[in-house]
Amino acid sequence: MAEITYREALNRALDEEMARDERVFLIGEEVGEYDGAYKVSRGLLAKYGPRRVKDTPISELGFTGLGVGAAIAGLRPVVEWMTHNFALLALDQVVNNAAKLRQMSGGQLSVPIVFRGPNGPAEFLAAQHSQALGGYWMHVPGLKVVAPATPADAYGLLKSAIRDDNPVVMLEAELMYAWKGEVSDQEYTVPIGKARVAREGEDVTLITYSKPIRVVEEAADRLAEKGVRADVIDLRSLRPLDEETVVSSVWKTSRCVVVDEAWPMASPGVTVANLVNSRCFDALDAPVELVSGEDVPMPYNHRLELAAQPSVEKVIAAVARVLYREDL
Amino acid sequence: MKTELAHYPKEELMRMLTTMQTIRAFEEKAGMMYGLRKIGGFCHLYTGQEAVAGGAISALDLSKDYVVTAYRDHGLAIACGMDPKKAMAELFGKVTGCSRGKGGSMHLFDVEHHFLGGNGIVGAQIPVAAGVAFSQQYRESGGVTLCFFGDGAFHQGAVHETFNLGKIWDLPVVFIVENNQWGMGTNWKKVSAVDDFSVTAGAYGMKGYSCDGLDVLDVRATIEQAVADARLGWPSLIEARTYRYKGHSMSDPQKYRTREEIDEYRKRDAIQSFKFRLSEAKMLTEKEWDDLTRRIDAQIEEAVAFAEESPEPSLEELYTDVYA
Amino acid sequence: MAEILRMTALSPTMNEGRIAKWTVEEGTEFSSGDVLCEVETDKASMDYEAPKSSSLLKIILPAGETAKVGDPIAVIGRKGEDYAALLKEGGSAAVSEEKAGEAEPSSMAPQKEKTVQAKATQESQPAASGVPKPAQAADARNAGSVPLHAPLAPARLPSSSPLARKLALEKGIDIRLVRGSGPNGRVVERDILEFAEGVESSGGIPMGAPKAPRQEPTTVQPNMKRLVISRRLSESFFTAPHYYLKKRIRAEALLELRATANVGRPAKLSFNAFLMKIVAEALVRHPEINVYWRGPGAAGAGREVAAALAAVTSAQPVLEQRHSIDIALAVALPDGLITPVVCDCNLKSASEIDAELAQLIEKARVGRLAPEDYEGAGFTVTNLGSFGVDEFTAIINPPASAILAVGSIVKEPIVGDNDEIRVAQTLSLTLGCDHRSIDGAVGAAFLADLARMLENPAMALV
Repeated sequence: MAEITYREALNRALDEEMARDERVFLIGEEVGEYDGAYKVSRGLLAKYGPRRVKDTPISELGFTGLGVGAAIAGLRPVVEWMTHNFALLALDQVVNNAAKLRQMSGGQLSVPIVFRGPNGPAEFLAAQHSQALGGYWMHVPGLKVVAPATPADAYGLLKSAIRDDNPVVMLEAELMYAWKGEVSDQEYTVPIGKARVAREGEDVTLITYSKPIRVVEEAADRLAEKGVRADVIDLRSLRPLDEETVVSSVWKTSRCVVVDEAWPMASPGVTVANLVNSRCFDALDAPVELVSGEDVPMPYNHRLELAAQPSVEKVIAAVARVLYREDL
Repeated sequence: MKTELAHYPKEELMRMLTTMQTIRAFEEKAGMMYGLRKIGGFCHLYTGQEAVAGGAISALDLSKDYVVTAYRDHGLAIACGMDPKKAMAELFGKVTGCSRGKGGSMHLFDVEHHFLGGNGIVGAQIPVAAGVAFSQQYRESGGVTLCFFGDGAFHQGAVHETFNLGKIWDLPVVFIVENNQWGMGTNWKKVSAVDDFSVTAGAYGMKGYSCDGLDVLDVRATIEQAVADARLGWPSLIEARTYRYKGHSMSDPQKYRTREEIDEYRKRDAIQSFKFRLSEAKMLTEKEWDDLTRRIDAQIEEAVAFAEESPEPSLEELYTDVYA
Repeated sequence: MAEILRMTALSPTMNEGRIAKWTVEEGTEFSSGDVLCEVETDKASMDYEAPKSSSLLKIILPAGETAKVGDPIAVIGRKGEDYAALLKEGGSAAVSEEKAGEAEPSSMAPQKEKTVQAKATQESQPAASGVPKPAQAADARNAGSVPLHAPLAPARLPSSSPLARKLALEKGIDIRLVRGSGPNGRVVERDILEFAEGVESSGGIPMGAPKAPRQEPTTVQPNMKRLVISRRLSESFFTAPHYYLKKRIRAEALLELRATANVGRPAKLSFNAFLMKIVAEALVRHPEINVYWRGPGAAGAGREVAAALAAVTSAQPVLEQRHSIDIALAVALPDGLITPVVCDCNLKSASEIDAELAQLIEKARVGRLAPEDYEGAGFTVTNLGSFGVDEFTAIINPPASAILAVGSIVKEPIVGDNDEIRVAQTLSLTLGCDHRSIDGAVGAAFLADLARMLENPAMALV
């Protein structure tokens, strides 16, 4: 067991999978000579050479589509998007091709490809570089979507994603790359579609994924000081969604707060809230609360950009509402 | 300069003729079936363009080469060897179709015959084709990928991103723009900065070729050269100037062009011209042609009967083939 | 190879077409794309183009006639081909025509879609997740859920959380009885739990759901009469220290007296008239009961106000001995209690008292009672016997000092003078006194005399 960063965990997973399977290759902007825009691919060019670590021109549509073609023709590409914001240029290739080629061909093709990169707001990056776009991918049948929130899950989920025969979109985050956590020295994988119960409690269920996990954990700490014990669920996978873990938790607690840094309309958060409403209706003692990103493009000003995101205070206020308590 | 018939053995020439006539018969029958509402939705017929598929695919070694195209895909699918039964059943939406009734006219796929679709978004198949070529290069399979698209797709960004990727990575890919001159209802000249698409190859350091898309042997010879280059890591761009007889899709009233224009091209019909050349060269008798067309007509009738008799997909099929 | 040429849909909405003109003659060749005939559709006249190169062997549908999409219109094929068999088949060669003919104008694709959707909803219930395993998802849906009874009609329920409703059902609690502590009075889990705890600790109360729909309370402004009742009785109850003396008496003699007196009377004299007459006789013998207490905190109304004010101003209470026997009877009217007063009862016969009572009650009923008709009583009789009340306590009608509450006449076993048990008709008397003016012994003496007289009315004569 060693404490490593999220970045190192991803790097180790890539390295191991490339060593294990000759068909795996990494493609994207700055993945090679630059060692990765966020250094996730550090050292891989030196180790595996330019055949397997492909620096691309700034052509998201082109190299994403090329990855899809390589996947249907026998390879297992890992496509790095410098950020998910830029992946919008490649939306057509992911939505219309990666997600559909198997179904449109009546099962003749499979598309074993991973699309990964940082998603969601970092700091001081303003509107075009601070978007949580998980919902774009989560919306589409044919894709899988994972969002590890710890180095251990980043390692285990990336390995699972690379080995999966379906297109998998992975949501990382700039601010998470430096997060540290224990990762086993033993090789392992984390199954796609299984949530992690980050802590157990009986009074309220807090559900989140990706970077807001830290906000939620801190809120849970503060609530514990006031005697409120929260069940904290880190979804890890947005698609498929681990319905059973969510549902059994809310049946236990009767109260649910979903925390999602994406905008509130048509978002992962409302999908989860709808799941809880439809499958836990008779268990609920209060409407499901959604703490989302504010419904605005991200401003540059730091005070404003913090106000636009879920915070510990917002989470606690939502918990107070579902518990009908004013003393939290 | 016309490619000499003598350049190819007779059976090779007959194979090209058979492919073209099979496509013609299939498409004409598909048109009739559409009119009878056996086929729904978008259905883009290939009639008039048979020489492109017939010539290009005959230049390939489909044990290692691949073909990727857009939604006017019946002709290339059949040229690659797709059983017309499976193609017609797919058009009918039947479970015996090549895509189990889930793709329809625009999404024919035949992995066994290295035909990888069948893409409905204009230009979206182009980067995918480069990826297939990338895989061939990566695996050192020696294969090349033919990437077909129309004159309408030429102005998509995907085309130019992919030309660049193909060249910088020396991918074994041949880009073929089938210029049938009408991007839906828009004449290609109205929306193109160049009057010959092949000249844009130079901007990416690729070779560019033009060929007569109504002359199967010209297509064949041009593709042969391009494929040979691609196997060496030199991608290229070919414009095959051709013409479609029918509307963009079956619901197209074709108000944008004149009957005279269509008739003019019908006079130069690729199949009739080729048949005439073969007859002139005493390589094809009327009897042989008669036998050939009878055999093909019977094959297509059989395809229709097969499609007609095949079952619809069961409702369980709704959730299959979405994930591996 | 001869084949049937059929009418095809030449426009998206076309169902049938009329051949306007054949442009190709039987026996002639044509090329793919040539116009074979002109067809009039619902929209316009369209060219029917040859789908392939062939020759026209036989026109089945002549110009001027109409065919549905899918109907045969001609036979095409190689010149000289025998197509008789084809015609005999009725045009059902390769394609099954019946099906083609049946095709609806709305086109096949949407129809198919509709069926699939409907069935898919029934059969597979796609889950919210992306996992394509409907059966598994459906199972999962059932696991973890708890079978519930049919919920109460939501429109009549107060706002409540689903959990609160479920708990209420489980615990047999009528949620309408539970006060909600959530936003807008929403009944939430803790309200049900607290309610259930209360029920348990109080030994349980029946919780059967009332059948009648709950109605929101309505409020009205009380009329003057009710305000007066409210003020006077509140003041009496909260200022005069009441005490009560109870006595159960035998009522046979009184009933016999009334029966005897009523013989031959068309309108029977009321029981209350006799009661008041005998009470008057008792008061004559116990003037200490016929007193007013006036002073700070004493209640009064109407013409008594001046006296009361004087007493308040002097700040000294006053005990006022009355010298006339004026008795009020509490009478329930639809708009509230009224206490008409019969003055000088000791000087009036039972029939006079009865007549006067009837008159006063009639005046009260039509709202014509004057203040002097209901003020100035030194004593009050209230009788709820006709309502079946066994015994009760009453509030003194101020400024008087005593009130007699009379219950119903009931049969019950009593011990007779010779210690025998027998059935007797009895009546309960409860004397309420103001302790400020009447001590317990004084009240007791009065009640004892009154009881004796009621049990033996002859005593009233001596």
